[in-house]
Amino acid sequence: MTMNDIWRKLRKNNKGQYRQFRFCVGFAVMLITSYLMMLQSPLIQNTLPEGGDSRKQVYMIFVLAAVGCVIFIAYAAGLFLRYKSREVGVFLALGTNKKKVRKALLYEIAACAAATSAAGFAAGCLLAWCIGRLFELLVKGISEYRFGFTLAGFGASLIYAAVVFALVIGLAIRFMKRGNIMDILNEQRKQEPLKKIVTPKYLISGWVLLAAGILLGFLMPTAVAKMTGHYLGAWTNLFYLAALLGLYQILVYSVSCHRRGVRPQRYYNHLISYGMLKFQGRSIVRNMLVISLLLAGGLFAVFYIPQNTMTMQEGFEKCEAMYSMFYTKGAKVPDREEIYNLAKQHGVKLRDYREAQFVQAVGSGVKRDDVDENNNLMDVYEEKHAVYEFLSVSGFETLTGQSVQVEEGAYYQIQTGDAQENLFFRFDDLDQVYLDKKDVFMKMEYKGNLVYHSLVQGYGFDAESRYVISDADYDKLKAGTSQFPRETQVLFDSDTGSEEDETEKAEAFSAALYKEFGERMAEDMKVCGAFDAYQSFLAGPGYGYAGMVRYDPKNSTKEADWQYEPQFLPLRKANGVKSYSVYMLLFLYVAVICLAAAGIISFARSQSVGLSSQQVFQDLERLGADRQYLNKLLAKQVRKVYVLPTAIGTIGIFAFEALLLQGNDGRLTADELKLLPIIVLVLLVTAAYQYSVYRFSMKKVAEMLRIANESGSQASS
Amino acid sequence: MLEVKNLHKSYKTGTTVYPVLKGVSFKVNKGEFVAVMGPSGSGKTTLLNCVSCFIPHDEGEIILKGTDLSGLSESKIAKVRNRYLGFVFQDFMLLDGLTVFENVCVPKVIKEEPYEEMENKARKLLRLFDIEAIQDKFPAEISGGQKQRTAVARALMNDPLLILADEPTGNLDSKSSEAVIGAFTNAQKQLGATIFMVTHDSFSASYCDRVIVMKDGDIFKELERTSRPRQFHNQLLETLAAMNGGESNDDE
Repeated sequence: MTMNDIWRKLRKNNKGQYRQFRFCVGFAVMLITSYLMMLQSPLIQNTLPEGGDSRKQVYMIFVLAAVGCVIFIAYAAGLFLRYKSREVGVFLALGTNKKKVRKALLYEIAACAAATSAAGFAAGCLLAWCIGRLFELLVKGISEYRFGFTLAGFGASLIYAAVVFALVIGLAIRFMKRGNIMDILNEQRKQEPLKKIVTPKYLISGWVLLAAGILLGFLMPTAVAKMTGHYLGAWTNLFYLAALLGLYQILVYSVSCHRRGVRPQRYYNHLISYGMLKFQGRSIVRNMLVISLLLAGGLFAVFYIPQNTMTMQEGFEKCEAMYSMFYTKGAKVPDREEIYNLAKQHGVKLRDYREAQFVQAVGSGVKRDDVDENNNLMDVYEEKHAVYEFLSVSGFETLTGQSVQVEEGAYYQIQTGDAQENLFFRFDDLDQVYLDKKDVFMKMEYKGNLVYHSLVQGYGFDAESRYVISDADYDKLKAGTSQFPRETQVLFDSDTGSEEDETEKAEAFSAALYKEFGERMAEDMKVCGAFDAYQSFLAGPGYGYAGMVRYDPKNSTKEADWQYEPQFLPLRKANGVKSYSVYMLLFLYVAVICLAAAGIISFARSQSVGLSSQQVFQDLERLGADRQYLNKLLAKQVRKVYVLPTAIGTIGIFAFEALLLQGNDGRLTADELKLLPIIVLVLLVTAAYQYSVYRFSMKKVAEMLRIANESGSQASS
Repeated sequence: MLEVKNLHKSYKTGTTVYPVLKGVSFKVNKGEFVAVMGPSGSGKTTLLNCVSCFIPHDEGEIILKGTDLSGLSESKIAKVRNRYLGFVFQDFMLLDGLTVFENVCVPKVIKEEPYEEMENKARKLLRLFDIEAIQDKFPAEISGGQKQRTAVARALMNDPLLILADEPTGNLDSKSSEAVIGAFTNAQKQLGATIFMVTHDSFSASYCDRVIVMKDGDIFKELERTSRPRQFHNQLLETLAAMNGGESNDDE
C-alpha cells in the first residue's frame, strides 16, 4: 500500500468534507463565470452605454460578488484543511517526511480544486448560455444583439478560476508551514477564536470607520469639487475600504464581545450561546461580511428596476404634448395634412397641431470634464463649444402657449421643472453665438429657464441645449448662419381618453407615423444620441459617433439610439418597460445571482455551525438541557448568520441608495421620495426571503443534530 | 436516595443478544459516597448510563428519591438531569467558549434562574474547590485537575440529589486525581452531597464510603469502608485480585 492509496482511502472515508469543499469552490466559480460570460456577451456589452451609470453599477456589483466569493472559498478551504489536519498530524507523528506529506496534501487539494473549478467554469458557461438564450427569447424584437461567448468572457473567467486555485494552494502551503505537530493534530478540535480582545472602543472605532469611509468616499469628493473646484481623483474610492474594515469590526464585536454589564440577567440567559459563538470566531464574521455584501449588491441591482420604471413614468406624466417630433429642413417627413389623414385612417382625432422652427448655431460654452496636472477641475471656456438650437419667443409661444418677454441680447434655456446645475453644466454657460456667414459673435446673456418638458432634449444641457431668444435676435441669427440646417419642431395632441379602444387606436396611429417618419427622414437625421454636430464638423469623417445610429422604423419597441427619435406618448406608454427590458433583465439576473449566493452561503454556514456545535449540544443534553432549550440555543446560533447580515445589507443599502438619490442633484425630489416606499418593500421581501432560508436551515440543522421538535417546527421566533 | 432494583440491560448485534446488566440491585443512601469498580465489560459504565438515563434499560427500576425514572418522558428526564442529578465526566465536557466561572453557572443558566443567586452560588463553589483564582480563565488555559474541579463545582450548582461521576480521574495524573477526590469528599462533608462514581482507580475508590465491585453484569461484592483510606485501599486490591484469580485490575 502506498501513500497515495492511503490518501485515496481517506478521501473515500471523508466524502462529506470533500463534497462540501467541492460545492463551495464549484458554486463560487460557476456564479462568477456565468456573471462574466453574460457581462462580456455582445448582448450586454452593446446594450449598456459606454461610461454610463448602468454599466458602472453592474461592474460595481460584480466586484462585490467576486470579492464575496473569494472570501467564501477561503472559508471553505480553511474548513477543509481543518478536517485534514488530523490525518496530516498522524502522518507526521508517525515519522512521515514532512515534504512528502506536503506534496501529497498539495496534490490532493490541487486536484480537488482544479477539477471543481473546471466543473464550475463549465457549469457557469452553461448557465450563462441558458440565461442568454432566455434573454434573447424575452427581448426578441426589442434588441438586435444576441448572446454569445467572447474571448474577454473566457479570459476573465479563467483568470478568476486561476485566482481561486492559487488562493486554495496558498492556504494549503501556509497550513503545512507549521512545525508543531501537536498544533496540527489538534487543529480540527480547536475552535476558531478571534485573536483580538474586543472592547466597546473597538465597536466605536468600527462605527467611526464605517461612517468616515462612506462620508469620505462618497460625499467628500463631490463636496471638495464643489467648494474648491479640485477633483480629488479615483483614489478616494479607497475610503470605502475603511468602511469595509469598520463593518468587519462591528461584526467581530457582535460575535465576540458580550459583557455582564448593566443587564446581567439577559447576559446569563444568553451565556451559552455567546460562548459558542465566540469560539466560532473569524470564519463566522467573514461569512457574515460576505452575506451582508452580497445582499447589498443584489438589492442595489434590484433597485435599478423600480428606479427606472419610475423615471419613465415620471417622464410620461410631465410631457405637455402627446406627440413631439422634430426634423431638419429638407426631410420628407409627413406634413400636417398627411398626419391628420393618417390619424383619421386610424380613427384618431387630432388637435392643437403646432409647429415652429429652430435655428441651429454654434455657441460658446464651458468644458469642465478635464483636470489639470494638479488634478484641479478645469473650466475651459470655448468660444465655439457646441451646436445649440434657438427658438424665437413667438415660436415658443406658438408651441407652448406661454407668453414670455425676452429682450434683445438675452436668452432663456428650455428645461425641465426640476433641472439643476451640476459640476459639469451651468445654465449660463452660453454667452455668445457665432454667426458663421459674417464670422462674428453675437453676445447673449442668460436670464432664466422656461419649463416645457416636451421640448427638452435629453438632459437639456450642453449640445442638447435649446434656447429661447427674442424675435429680433432670432432674425439676426437666421440671417447670419447657414452652417447647420434649420429644424422644425412639431407638437400636437389627440382626444384619447382612457378607453381601451381609444388607446389602441392612438397606439396604432403612433406606430404608423413612427414608421413613416423613420423611413422618410433626411440623411443628416441619421445620427445617434451622443452625436455632436460641431464636434463632427471639427473632426471630419473620422468622428467617433458618426454612423452609430440605431433605429427601426417598423419596430418602435426595439432599443433605439437616435437623436431625432419622435416621442409619441401612446407608443412609449405601450412599449413601457419593454424598451428597457435588456437592462431590467440584466439587473434582475445580477440580483438573483447575488441573493442566491447570499442564501446558499448562509445555508452552508448554518450547516457548519451545526456540525461544529454537535459535541456541545450532546454535552448540554447530558447536563439536562431539553429539546426546547437546545432548539432555542440552536436558533440563536443560526440567527447570527442571518439577522445581523440581513439588517446590515438591507439598511446599509437603503441608506446608500438614499445618499445616491440625494447626491444626484443635491436633494430628494418628490418622485425620488415616492421611490423610497418601493425600496422599503423590496427590502422587506428580501428580509422575508432570508427568513425562509433561515427556517429551512434551522430545520436541516436540527435534523442533523437530532434535536428537531416533534411538531416539526424548530425555528423559534 | 437512589435505589436500583433488578436492572437488566442487553445490547443486540444482528440477531445476537449480549446481556450487560443481569438484574443489578443496590441502594445509595443520602450523603453517601459510593464507587463502582470492576474489570472491562463488567457493566459498570452501562450501569451509570442507565442511572443517568443516557440509555434506556430493558427491565427493572431506578428510583430516585421515591420516583421511578423508568418510562419518564424525554422532557421530564431532561428536568431530572438538570435539577436532581449532577454529572462529572472523564473528559470534563466544559464549554470552551465560557470561562471557569461561566461554566460553573451553566446548569442554572439552563434552569433559567435569576442571576444573583447563580453568581453567589458559583462563587461559593469556586471558593470551596479552590478554583477562585482561575475563574476568568477559559478551559484551554487551565490544567486537567482544575478542569475537573470546575466540572465538580458545575455538577453541584443545582444542589442535585445525586452526583454521577464517570471515571472522573481517568484523564488525570495522581496529584490532580487527589485534588478531584478531595473535591468530592469536600462536597460530601460540607454540602452533604451524595456521590455515585464509576472508577477503575482503586486509590480514588478507597476514599469512598462503600465500593460496589461488579463482574459479568452483576454485583460481585460490596465493600464498606470502616477504616482509613489506606487500609481500605489494600482491602480493595485484595478483593479485586481475588475476583480476577489473583490479579488486580488496577491497570485496566
